[in-house]
Amino acid sequence: MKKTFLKISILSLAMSIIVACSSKIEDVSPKVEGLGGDILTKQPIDTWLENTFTKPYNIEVKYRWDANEVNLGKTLTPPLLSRVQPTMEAVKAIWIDPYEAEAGADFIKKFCPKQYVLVGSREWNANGTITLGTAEGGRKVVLYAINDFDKKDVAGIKQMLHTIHHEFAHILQQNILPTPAFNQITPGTYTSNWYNVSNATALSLGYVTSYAMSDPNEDFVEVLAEMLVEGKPAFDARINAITNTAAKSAIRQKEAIVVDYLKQAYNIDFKSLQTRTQNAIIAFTK
Amino acid sequence: MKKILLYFILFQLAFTACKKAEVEPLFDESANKRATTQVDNYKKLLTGSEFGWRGEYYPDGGNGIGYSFYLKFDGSGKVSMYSDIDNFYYFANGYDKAFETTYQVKSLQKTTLIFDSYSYLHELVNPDYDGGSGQKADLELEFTSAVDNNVITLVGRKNKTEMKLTKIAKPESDLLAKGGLANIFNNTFNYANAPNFLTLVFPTGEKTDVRIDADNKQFGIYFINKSGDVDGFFSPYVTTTTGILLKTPITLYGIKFQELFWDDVKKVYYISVNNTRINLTASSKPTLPFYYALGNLFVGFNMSPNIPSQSADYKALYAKIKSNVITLSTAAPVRVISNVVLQYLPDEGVFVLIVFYTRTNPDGSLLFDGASVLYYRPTLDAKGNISFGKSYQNATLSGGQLSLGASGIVLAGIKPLTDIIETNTFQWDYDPTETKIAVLKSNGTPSITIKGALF
Repeated sequence: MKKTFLKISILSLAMSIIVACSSKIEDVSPKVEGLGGDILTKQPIDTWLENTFTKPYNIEVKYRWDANEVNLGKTLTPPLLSRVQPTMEAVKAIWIDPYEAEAGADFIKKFCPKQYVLVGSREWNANGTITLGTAEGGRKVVLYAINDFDKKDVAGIKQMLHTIHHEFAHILQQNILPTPAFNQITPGTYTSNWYNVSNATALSLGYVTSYAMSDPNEDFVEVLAEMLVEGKPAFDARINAITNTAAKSAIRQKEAIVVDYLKQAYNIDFKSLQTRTQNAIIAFTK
Repeated sequence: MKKILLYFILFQLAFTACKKAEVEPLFDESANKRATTQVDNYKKLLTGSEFGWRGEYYPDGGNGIGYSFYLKFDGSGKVSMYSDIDNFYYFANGYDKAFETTYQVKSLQKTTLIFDSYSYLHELVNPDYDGGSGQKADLELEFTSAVDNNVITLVGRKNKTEMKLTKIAKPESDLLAKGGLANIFNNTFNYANAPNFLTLVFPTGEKTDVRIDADNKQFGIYFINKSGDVDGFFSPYVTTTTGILLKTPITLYGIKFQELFWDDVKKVYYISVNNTRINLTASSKPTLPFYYALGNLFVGFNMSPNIPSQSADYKALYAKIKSNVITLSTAAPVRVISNVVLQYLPDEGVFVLIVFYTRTNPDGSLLFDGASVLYYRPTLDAKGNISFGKSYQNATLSGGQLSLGASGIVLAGIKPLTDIIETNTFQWDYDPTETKIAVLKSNGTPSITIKGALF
């Protein structure tokens, strides 16, 4: 009897499956049109970007306007086509090449942000400050004011590369945390009103820039970026000019932590990296 | 056990017995497919015009200054562009040249035309020019309609910029290639700023005053209406290869026009009514009576001593106040008056007497380059006599900024002039013969006649 039950039940199950499957299969999920991103006709610059950034480093460089890549609440413009290649040449020469030479090709491939978004104008903030670069979770870097890029403008190039080194340093810092001792060097003077402080005042309080005062994480990457982009002689001259000995010593302590951090965490000789970065800036803006 | 078996079979039946209802879709294609089709159709439409399109572009919900864009789209995502923007910061090639940039047609919330790399159009969007918002223009514009494949309307996603694209033909395209747009733009500027007034006489004989403000691309036509008040029609315009195109057509005295055409030989603008041409004429004074035109066709009265027909009395008075101020200046460098202007502020209904002066350092640099500003409230009697009553506090204009208070030295030095202005009544009208000149004549003593250039 039990066997019969079993047979009947298997039969009925089989029947139901057959019946259920026999109805015409209706495609309820038709092909989605336009999947796989925008299909844009390649411009000459696209080939160059692909060969220089995408193929070797898996970095996407997006220069054509996509409102969803930037702050929707802000008024911004895409970059001039003619400024895209010079800008990215500077990025390659002054950021990627020195790191690659110092830490090996895989280092950049592993840690680099995977997407660069270029914006032509500056980003204006409600408090009157402007943003020249932003980074999101170590994956994406947005560079602003590309239209003002000028190969001969050393100050302008330094400012832009400062942004890039700054954002890249955030990625390094987020992957391997620096010593908490850094946060205790000037613990009481971090402020969200950093933009009301001049760079000179910031120096006298023990910060390399006023933005470094915004919080210890920014402070850390500002020290790293300033040292790389300004170079040792200029950086030293600026620190030595500080009259407040406590401030001077604070910046020197921060400097020592940054140098030590790169060596311990990533086995990078900071002095050599700094020299390479400086030589790259000189060669590029020649 | 039997029960279980029964339920089991019933359960199976319940699952298999339901017949699927046929759903009749409202559309033949999926929403996704339809969106893609629309993108393709608009792309085809844009690239389908052999000679391209003329765009009329009004930022800020249609309320901004208008601009024309001549656009030619190609199939590889490139667009060539001309525009009547008068200066470009980022372009060395100038506005008489086409600029090539990229575009996309993309399905966002609606099918959208995106100018996705920098071009002339982005000069209007660029926030760097005025600290944040630009001219409230748009680089992403949604298609709203296409009429007969000849006219496409679009609206900006962010600032509701209004854009209308009209298909153009070969003659217009040829004119563009020859720098025609820049030519019209420059000629319009010179024409609008020429030292005369513009009159348009209608076929029925009515005379009207026309004002073209080339800086703000505004067209205005003024006349006296049936109730005897000054009235007008105004429209923003954009520059085309043949003249200026108004945003809204003007209907007056039985005719309607939306376009003014430039005659490059005669250097005049004209309108075309039923193929009949009516020229705008240059005239020495407006059709509107003086006090009606004040605040509409002009606001200022430049009391320069250098006007050739300036009265000897006023020249002497000017020389006197100038030397007074120099003599009274206690500390070097001395204050030197450079001009005197009487200007009407229509919004406040007051006049300002602006006394421009400079203080020059020994090395030639300017310590001060500005003006003392005195306010007057006008009173006009039935006979057309105007008097000026002192109003508000005095101010100083320097570096484009007004601040309270004026130099006591200047005020004391110009007293001979301000006494006349404050204690007299005047007759004020156009100069009967000279172009763009008016005459201010005192009724009492001292009797003085002052000529001024209208602006």
